[in-house]
Amino acid sequence: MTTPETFEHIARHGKAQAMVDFLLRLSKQELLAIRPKTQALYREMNNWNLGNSRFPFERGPLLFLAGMACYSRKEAGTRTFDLPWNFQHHHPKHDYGHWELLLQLLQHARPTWLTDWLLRVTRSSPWQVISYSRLRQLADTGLVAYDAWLFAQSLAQHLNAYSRNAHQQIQETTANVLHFLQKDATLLERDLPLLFDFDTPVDSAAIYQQNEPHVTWLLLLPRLAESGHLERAALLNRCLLALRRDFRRPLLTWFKNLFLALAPTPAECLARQTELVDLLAHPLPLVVNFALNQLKPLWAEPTFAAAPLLLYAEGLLTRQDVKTGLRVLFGGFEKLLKRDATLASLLASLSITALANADATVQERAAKLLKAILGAKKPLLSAAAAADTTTSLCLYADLLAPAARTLLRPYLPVEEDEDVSLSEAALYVPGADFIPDISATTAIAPARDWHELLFLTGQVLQHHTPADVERWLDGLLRLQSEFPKDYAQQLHPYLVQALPWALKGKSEEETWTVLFSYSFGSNHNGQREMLLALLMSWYLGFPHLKVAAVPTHNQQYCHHDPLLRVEQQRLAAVETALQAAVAPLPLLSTPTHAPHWVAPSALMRRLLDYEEAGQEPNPADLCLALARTAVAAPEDVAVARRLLPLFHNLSLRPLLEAFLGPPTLTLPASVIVAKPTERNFTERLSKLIPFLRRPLATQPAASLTTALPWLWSVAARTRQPAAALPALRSLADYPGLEHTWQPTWTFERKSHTYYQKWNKERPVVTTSWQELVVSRNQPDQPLPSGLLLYSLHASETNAYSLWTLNADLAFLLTLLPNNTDALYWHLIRTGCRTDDKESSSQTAMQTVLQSLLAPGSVLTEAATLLLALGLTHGASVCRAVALEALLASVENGRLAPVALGEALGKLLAAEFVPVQRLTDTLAQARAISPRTDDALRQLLEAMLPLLPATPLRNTRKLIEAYADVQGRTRRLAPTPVQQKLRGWSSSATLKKAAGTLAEA
Amino acid sequence: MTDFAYAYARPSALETGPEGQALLLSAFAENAADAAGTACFFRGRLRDSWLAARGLSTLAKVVAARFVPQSAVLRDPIVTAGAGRLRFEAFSSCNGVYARLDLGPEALDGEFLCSGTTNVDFNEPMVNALARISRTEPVLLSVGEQEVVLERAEGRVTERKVALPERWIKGLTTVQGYLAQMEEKLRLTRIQAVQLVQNLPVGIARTDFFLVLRGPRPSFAPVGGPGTVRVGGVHRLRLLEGLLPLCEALRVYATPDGQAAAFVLELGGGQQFVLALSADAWRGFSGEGNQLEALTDELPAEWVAGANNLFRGNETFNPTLFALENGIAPDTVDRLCASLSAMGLLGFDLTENHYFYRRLPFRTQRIISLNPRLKNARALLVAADDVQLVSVGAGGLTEARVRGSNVWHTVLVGSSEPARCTCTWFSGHQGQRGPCKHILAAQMRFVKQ
Repeated sequence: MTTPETFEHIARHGKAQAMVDFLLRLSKQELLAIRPKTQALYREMNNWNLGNSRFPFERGPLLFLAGMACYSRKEAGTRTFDLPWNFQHHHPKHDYGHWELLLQLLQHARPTWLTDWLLRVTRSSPWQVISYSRLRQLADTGLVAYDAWLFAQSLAQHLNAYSRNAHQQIQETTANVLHFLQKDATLLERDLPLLFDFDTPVDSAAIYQQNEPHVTWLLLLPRLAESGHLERAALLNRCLLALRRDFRRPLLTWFKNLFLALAPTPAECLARQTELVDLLAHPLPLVVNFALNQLKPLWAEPTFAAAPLLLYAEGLLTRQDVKTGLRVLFGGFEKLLKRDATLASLLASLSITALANADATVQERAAKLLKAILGAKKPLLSAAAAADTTTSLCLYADLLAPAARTLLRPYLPVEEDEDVSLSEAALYVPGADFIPDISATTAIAPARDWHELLFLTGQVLQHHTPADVERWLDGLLRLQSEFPKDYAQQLHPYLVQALPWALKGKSEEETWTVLFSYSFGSNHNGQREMLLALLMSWYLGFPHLKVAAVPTHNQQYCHHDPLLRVEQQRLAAVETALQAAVAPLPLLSTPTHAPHWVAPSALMRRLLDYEEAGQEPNPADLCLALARTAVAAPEDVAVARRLLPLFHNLSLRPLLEAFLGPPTLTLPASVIVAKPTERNFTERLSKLIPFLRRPLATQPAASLTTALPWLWSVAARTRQPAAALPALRSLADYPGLEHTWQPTWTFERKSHTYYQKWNKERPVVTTSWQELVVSRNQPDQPLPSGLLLYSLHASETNAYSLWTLNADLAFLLTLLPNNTDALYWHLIRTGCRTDDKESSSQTAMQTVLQSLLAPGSVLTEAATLLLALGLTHGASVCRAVALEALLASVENGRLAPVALGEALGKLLAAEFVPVQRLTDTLAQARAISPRTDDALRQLLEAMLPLLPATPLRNTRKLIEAYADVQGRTRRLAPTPVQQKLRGWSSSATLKKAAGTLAEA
Repeated sequence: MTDFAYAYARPSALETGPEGQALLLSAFAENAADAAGTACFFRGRLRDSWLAARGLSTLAKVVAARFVPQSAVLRDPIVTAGAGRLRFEAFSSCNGVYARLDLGPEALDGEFLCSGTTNVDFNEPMVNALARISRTEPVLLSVGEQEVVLERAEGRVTERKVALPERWIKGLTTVQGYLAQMEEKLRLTRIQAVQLVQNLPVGIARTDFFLVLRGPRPSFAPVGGPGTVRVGGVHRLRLLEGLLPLCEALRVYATPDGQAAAFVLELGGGQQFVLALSADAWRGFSGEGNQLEALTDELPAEWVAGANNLFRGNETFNPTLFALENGIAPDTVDRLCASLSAMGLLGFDLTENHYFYRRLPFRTQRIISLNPRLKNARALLVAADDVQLVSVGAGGLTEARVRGSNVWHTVLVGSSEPARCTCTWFSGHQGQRGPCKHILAAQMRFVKQ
């Protein structure tokens, strides 16, 4: 057998001793020869695809020994060459003499890379750290160079080694370990101090014992200090120096706890005041609070040097994360002032800085100190300094919380009489009727030429922005005559991008074949898939229609949004028009003005073009066009009305006259279709025999004639979203026709009980929660038509709707700009049932809140409820977007503050959401502008009376927020709020906050 | 990709001597010719040692930080000494954060022994020691050591070997390009700077945030608007947590297209800290291609070499003034700057609005080796029919077909409008991360002939 063959034989079948004996016999050349074999066996061992036939993992130590003997620095640097557990620690139960064999081998081979290898292995995983005693052994024999970091890591984990063989009682174990540590001078003097210099696991290392407290370094180090083996003073110093570092929080906590475990005396702390003061610059509140607490007993000491502390204090006073520490700091300032009155000027300046802190308590403490300085009987400041202080103070007047304001009132500028009543600009009043901007500034430019259309295709596929999609569709129809002959070749890269798994690496012919027979799966199809179908069809040259073939029927876990079927019909109409290849007319529903408005005049012009071309509009397209028409833009409506006489279509003209005319509705007789007797009979019979019930009319109508009654209803509800329209009763009895679909919402307490027999203390666990329930008044009748845009969601209650809705929500929101309530209610019902951070709900909530940022009419009940749910959502990102929506709606005059306050009041009173979330969000809206403050005041005044008499947790913060805006807007609290505050003032927690406000 | 290896004669350290504490930064200059003779760039006192130590600690924090799942490998900052300033520059491990500490004449009390650029050793004990410098402690700073050569002669063992990654050189190219485009958007007071940190969104930001002033308060909004500054991967700003409360003022800069933002902390006493963030936490500066278009047009080698010698002597220059003074077209100056910065030779000072020169080796081959998109575009041009002209339209609008992987891409170049392509890179980024190789190839063949 050759050397490599012998080596492999031993590696597969021999023992470690045989391997070492073999390796020790080899010459340098022979060692080089077995190197590739060692690498190959390592690869085989780590190749899990080989299953049981791979090199056994248990024989890994033999390969490791071989690697130690024959590897160079390069091979030793590979990730798989690590330290097997057999070599890391001493295991009394599993001691097979491996370590001794390794030592024997290392002394023979003496690899120069051993130290670097150990450093790499130790860095790679906390489970790969060699035991401290073995590392020392390697260092003592000159095999490993001393590396401070490596020794620190190893020593920190030293205690873990005891866990493996500690079977004695704790006292005995502790004593043994202490004894071991005490007798090792190198460990105590050279290596132990390293624990304070590096980020090590010293905080988590322990001797773990069953049913006994663990033995940790925190227990051992003070004992070593007590026994005199460690210098106590040095230990205290090292703790403080380590706390200055940017270590992990748990490690800093450990250093803090060690310092406290040593129980330093005030004299020891005083001797270390410089080090303690230096900690005040630390970014973590944990360290700052610790330092301030240690300094607390020292303030009054005569040898305490205040100057360095005051130097650091300035940076601390505006920090919001050290509120506890700041309380201590101000306590200290008061003591300092008593001790040394010359510090008054400096302390006043620091207190003024603290007034910029957003926390009301900090402001109050600062105000108290300022008042003490400025109002002292014996003046503490010179006249000039006092004047300066007062001037600086006034700069912060607007930022002051009520408590601080009250304390500093004598020094603040006098509020003039005319300021007491707010100016009109500072009063928030919801906007009057919203008029969409139909002008050249908002006009949407269509795709200019073929190249723009081509590159727009890439944008549509990658980003799927609704505005781009509409421009692309419009471009497809308008620019058909400009398509170059090789347009399919130019589209090819985009199809590969869209379907890489099917088309990557395929030639154009193969691509054509794949796409020709391509069919979409039955789940999760949305507008994106429909657009892709249209693109495929376009690429293929429209050999057959693909859009209508995209499955959109509901599945068990996939419930498509009913609006998508209308969109599918519209896209199918585009495909048909392109297939016909005779200068297709543009869609009626393509938006003409941002964000998604169809100008009434543009709609009329498009209809005139259709009439001139003798082409009947597609019902779905017309339906969406009506829904998108800016009917509230009077000037453009007037232009459209002037065009009406040119339009001669007998069935559509009355509809358009009613749509663009005064808001009264009378249906022409031709629209009211009498139900056939047979259908009447079937409907009556189906009430008795369930299987005769007709399925939902999910597909939109095929022809304009059959669609006409439903177009009338869409036009009427677009124009008058909330009005009662008795004229529509004759069409059908369904939500959204005669009466708008206006659900109600309540809360239901739900609970779930489960049994855990194994837990004797708590065998039964009941969890309960609140659910938001949108009224389930399921319509009796089946949906009369798939074109009833404002009624489609009334019967759709499947919880899986939200999942499939998310991908298309941004687009669906563009379909109903005049009356989005039905979609909003649907979202509330499916996405906001419980207060959790489920990701589909989060995404949907963010999308819908983004849509509220734009100018529009005053928020409806559904939109207001969504905003309220957003402001108190579990996910911080949703709350952040909701805050933006709130501020934008104030800016645009869309907010109904009273309605929002009432919705929030209901949510909080039912304990559906915690108060803290709302107070955190509203805190960011304070003091932005007088108008925002006034809107917040109105909101809080509507909300507070709805809260329960027994205060909810954090109600105090709500009261403080109200006091803040009330102080800023200078309005008296209305009677219901005062009554509520009086009621709360009897509660211990709210006595101060509510009592003060109720008396004001 | 090979890294540029460098080594130190001894580790950097904060040592206590008879004159007080001395911060001795070991240096390794890649430009060996510069390093020979004088290995020490600066020696003197730090006027506010505590503040400088805070800045250096923050720099060390940036170097150790990573915001994408990848291993953190400590790299050592680059120091440029010249024009009376010391500039310490570094990137985070993920290359998405660039940080620079500038110590101006007011911050230093000492002697610049020579101008140059070097890497300084930032080892953990030194960082540890930096944290221990207290407010009133005087500290001596030495960049490089006069005894380096001597110690080598004595056969002293090299303590540590590290590698300067090519990504850093690429990052330096991109960063200076972005910094030169940036405009000042906001100026915050110290209190506002503190509030900025307090208002940072909790956790890791998955979406873009926009810095906006609401009343007097700076806030981060998830929605952009006029006057807002886009900050991608906003959680990266936590690197400044320890430094922001110490600054006198904070200036916020951003590129017009919102692809990068920079925060300049005026620390007082001639000290300034710059933190630049890439467009997203997952986007490293090294992967952006904002300078590629300027590099497509190869300038004569003697021009680049001449500019190099000129800037090397002057150390700082304003590109507009330079163009006016020398009667060179601004476009040519831009291309010269791009060529030099592609070798890592130029940096940009936002406050002074001028470039500064880094004395690194002048290796023109780096321009190609560090820009694979440019390299791939040139490879496309080598084949006879991989880049084909289709038409030349009005305004010079050129349509070309460029070979892709089993597809032909349509590319439009040459007009006043931005170039476009049908490839995945362009569709995904819409030109925001520089042109794709297809556009570069078409530009090189048909536009910049």
